[in-house]
Amino acid sequence: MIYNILKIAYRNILKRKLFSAINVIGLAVAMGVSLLLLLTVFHQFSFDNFHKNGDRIYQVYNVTNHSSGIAKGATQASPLKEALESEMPELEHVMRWSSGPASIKYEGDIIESSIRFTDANFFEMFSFQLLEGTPNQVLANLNTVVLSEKTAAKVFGEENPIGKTITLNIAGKAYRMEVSGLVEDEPNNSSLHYNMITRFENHPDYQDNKDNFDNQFLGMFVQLPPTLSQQEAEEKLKGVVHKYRNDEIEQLQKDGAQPDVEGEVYSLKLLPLNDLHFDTEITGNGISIALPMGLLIIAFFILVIVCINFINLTIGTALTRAREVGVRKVLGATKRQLISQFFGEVSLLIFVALFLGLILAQFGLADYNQLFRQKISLYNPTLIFAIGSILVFVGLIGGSYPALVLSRFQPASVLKGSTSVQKPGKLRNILVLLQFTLSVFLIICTMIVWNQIDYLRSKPLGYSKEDVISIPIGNELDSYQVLQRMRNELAANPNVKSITGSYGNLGMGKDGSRTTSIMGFSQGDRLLRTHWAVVDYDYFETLNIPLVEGRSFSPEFPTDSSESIIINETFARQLGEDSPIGTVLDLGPDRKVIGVVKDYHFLPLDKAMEPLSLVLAKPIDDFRLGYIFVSVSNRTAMSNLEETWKKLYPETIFQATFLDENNQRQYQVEESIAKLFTTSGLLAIILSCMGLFGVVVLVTSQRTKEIGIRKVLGASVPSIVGLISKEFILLVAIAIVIAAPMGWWLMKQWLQSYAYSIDFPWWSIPLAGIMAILIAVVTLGIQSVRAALTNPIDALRDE
Amino acid sequence: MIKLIDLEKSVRTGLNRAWILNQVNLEIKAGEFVTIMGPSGAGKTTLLNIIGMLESPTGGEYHFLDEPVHRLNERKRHDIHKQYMGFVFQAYHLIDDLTVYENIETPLLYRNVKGKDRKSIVADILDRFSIVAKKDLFPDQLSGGQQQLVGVARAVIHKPRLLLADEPTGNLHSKQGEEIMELFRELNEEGVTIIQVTHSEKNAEYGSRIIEIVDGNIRTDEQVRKSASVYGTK
Repeated sequence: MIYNILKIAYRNILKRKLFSAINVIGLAVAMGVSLLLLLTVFHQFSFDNFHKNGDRIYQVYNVTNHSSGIAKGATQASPLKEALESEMPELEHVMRWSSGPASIKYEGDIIESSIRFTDANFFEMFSFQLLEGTPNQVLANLNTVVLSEKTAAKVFGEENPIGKTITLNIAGKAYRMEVSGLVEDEPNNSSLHYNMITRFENHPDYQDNKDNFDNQFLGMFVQLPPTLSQQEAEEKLKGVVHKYRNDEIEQLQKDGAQPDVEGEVYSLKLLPLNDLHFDTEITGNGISIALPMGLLIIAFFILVIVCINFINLTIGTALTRAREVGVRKVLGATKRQLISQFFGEVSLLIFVALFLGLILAQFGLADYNQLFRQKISLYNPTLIFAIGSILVFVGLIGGSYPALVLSRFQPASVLKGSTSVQKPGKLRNILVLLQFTLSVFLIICTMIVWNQIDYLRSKPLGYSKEDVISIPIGNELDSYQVLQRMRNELAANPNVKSITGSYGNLGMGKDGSRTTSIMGFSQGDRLLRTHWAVVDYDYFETLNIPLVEGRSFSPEFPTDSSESIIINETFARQLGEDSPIGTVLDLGPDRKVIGVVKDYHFLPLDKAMEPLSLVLAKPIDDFRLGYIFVSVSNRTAMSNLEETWKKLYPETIFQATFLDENNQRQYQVEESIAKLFTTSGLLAIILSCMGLFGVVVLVTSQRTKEIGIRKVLGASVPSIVGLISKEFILLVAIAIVIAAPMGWWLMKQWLQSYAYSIDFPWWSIPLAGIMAILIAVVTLGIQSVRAALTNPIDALRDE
Repeated sequence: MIKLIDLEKSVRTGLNRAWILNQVNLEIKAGEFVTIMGPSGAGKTTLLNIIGMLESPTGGEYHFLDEPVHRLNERKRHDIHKQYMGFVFQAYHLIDDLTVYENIETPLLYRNVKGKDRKSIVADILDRFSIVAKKDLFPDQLSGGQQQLVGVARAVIHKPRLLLADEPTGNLHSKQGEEIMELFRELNEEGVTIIQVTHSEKNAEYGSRIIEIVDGNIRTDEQVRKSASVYGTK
């Protein structure tokens, strides 16, 4: 019986080539695409879920109610560890976590890398697998380091690294360390990354700040005992804050801070480890949960659209088989036997589609991974099972409705041929409506996302980005010397207009690093916060940032490097002085404001303008210069720079970029989203049109006789095209009316997450509508014109 | 075998009720070859469908082999239909997607006959109806007469006790029609009860009894006098 069902299913699939193709191709594409999307969703939601005690590990963050608003931050001071350990002895672990660049020297080779500073209990808290060493012993000594597999391979190759001594250059100082352990590379769903791990005591800032609560420069994780809930722990943290941070609280109160609902102006809270990945507010390292949710919704939409096609076409074609069902019933088929036959056909289609979908996903995987800069593999049995189940479920619906309807037929009436099979008009129309609503919605989203990205990329940032090149210096070279030598070498180059140095980059360079320093200080009786930039002479000239008041840093004023500061307009406004020039800021050593620059966007455009202070770099400072900015007269000067660099530093990689590239690189997530919306919107509309086409073919074949009679009675071709299309065009029009407010609402929310965004482009709604109608008209046109052109005699002959 | 008492079939048309069959009383014994005749719209096919359990009467009683069919549930009726009845249609109603062989085999599939048995049963009937050469062709590759031959073969493959035929020769020319009627007579001689609906006087003569229906009522019911011309020299 099974063999028989499959055989007939196979023949039916071949016989209805068009519908089978629409179904199989549609299902396969939707399956492949949604599989990829859901893989990402799974991956995103699996972040940090591999730690054995993960549900009890939290990152400590602080909430400060400034008079100007609430600020949340994850950076803590070093002595908080001891404070927590003595005040809350029930905590299983308290761990500090910080990082910095470091270069490794071993047998003459120098490798640029980075190092993590943490406490000895790191491997006991987190479930990163040690390949060599035991979790509680491996960091027992101060001068030991644990290498990741990748790093060990880079430094030692095949050699066993355990017990070897390497020299680390951390912030200009050399440390000799023994390799005490080897840890496997972090899984790609880990928020914590490492190349090398050493004790926190080796942190360059540790010695000076080990008792200083005011310098907050590290992350802190705690592991609660099973008996202590997050809420209870946060309650206890209040006591710690009041005991150790009373001066801060008093300062805040004096400054006019508004207490929160619990009456606190400064409190420590806990961020669960599992929420770390989606935290964009506190640590700022996470990604927005909107991304996986968006993917989930898109995957769902695509599956819904293709399922609608499937159901519409299966029901449609099944109804043309009423006679066959009647005959089979007369021949003795039971309802169950008929239903299993329909299911046989549906299952065969679905399995072919599943198989093709898997192949498709495999082909698309590489490009897709690149789009999201992720490394996920297709081999995820849970997921494949999940999607398989969804499709089987669709099959059940798509197969059961026609099976039930058909098996209810009275064979006598069907075989008499007198009763025309009733059309599933209402259900079909609702489904088509739903499809087009989703498609129009996605089109609207696509247009708005692209518009916003275009806006982000092209918005004037207040500095020249097209003709300024940023060169990362790297960690190994003496940055001040590099700047000096580049200045000398390029002085004679007519293409080079101006050169400067900076601690931080603008935008995101090829080295992928982005730093911001925030400085908090009290001015009079107020607490102020400002971003902090360390720059060299000619910074504003090179970047073409105008001064609105005062003067720029100048070698003519030798005290500039230690006593002067330049601030931006936003900061000047916060200071509130009539003329900020000459104001002395209490930044440890006092600094006098010598100039105010026009606001420029040193942060990505999702952030509003914030206060900025710039100080002049000096070679003896802790701050190294990270980047050299060169303003050039035309973009071909890049090759001049590269030649010069290679001549001076043949060992060090030249990763220079134009600032406009850096600017665009900041919006990679947005671009991925936009590409995704475009692809899925396109896919949605194609799939919907495939379905619409199928439905129209069915409708015209059901109405062949009617069309024939109308033509004999003198109907013109356009009137027949109108007759067939009218109903569907109306559906698309209704879809636009439904989709427009949905798209408007969602996109409005999204745009609001940017400090700088486009106004809602109203034209996008009619444009999306016109596109949808046009596409539908073309789809409908092909088939309805064909139907209208057929010779009426052909249509009426079989009667 | 079949006993109809005051059988009625009516349909509602708006506020009115139209009777297709009205007060039909009829008894058919096993082994009979009954022909139902009458003008178009008289209710012949409806009567045949009710006997074949493809339609339900709206009133009266229907006993089949002493089972009160009008009181049985759908499932039970289906079982009786499946076990005892075979159908032949005017328009053949072969399944287009199936070959001759598969069309004939289908009733056996629905009766869960084992694969090996199916093969031999189908082979026998193909042989008997001389359509072995056509077994892998699809219906649209056959002439009307051949299609109806397959239709009859399919109707009797499961050895029904009652064969119901609705104008079996209506779409055929006379030569093909005769072949089919010959076949019916052979089957009848083997003990199969046959009820056929026809317009053809000639076909009626193959049967043993002619019932004439007019306006939903039985007007005449008479035994056929066997004439030598029909019991030919075959």
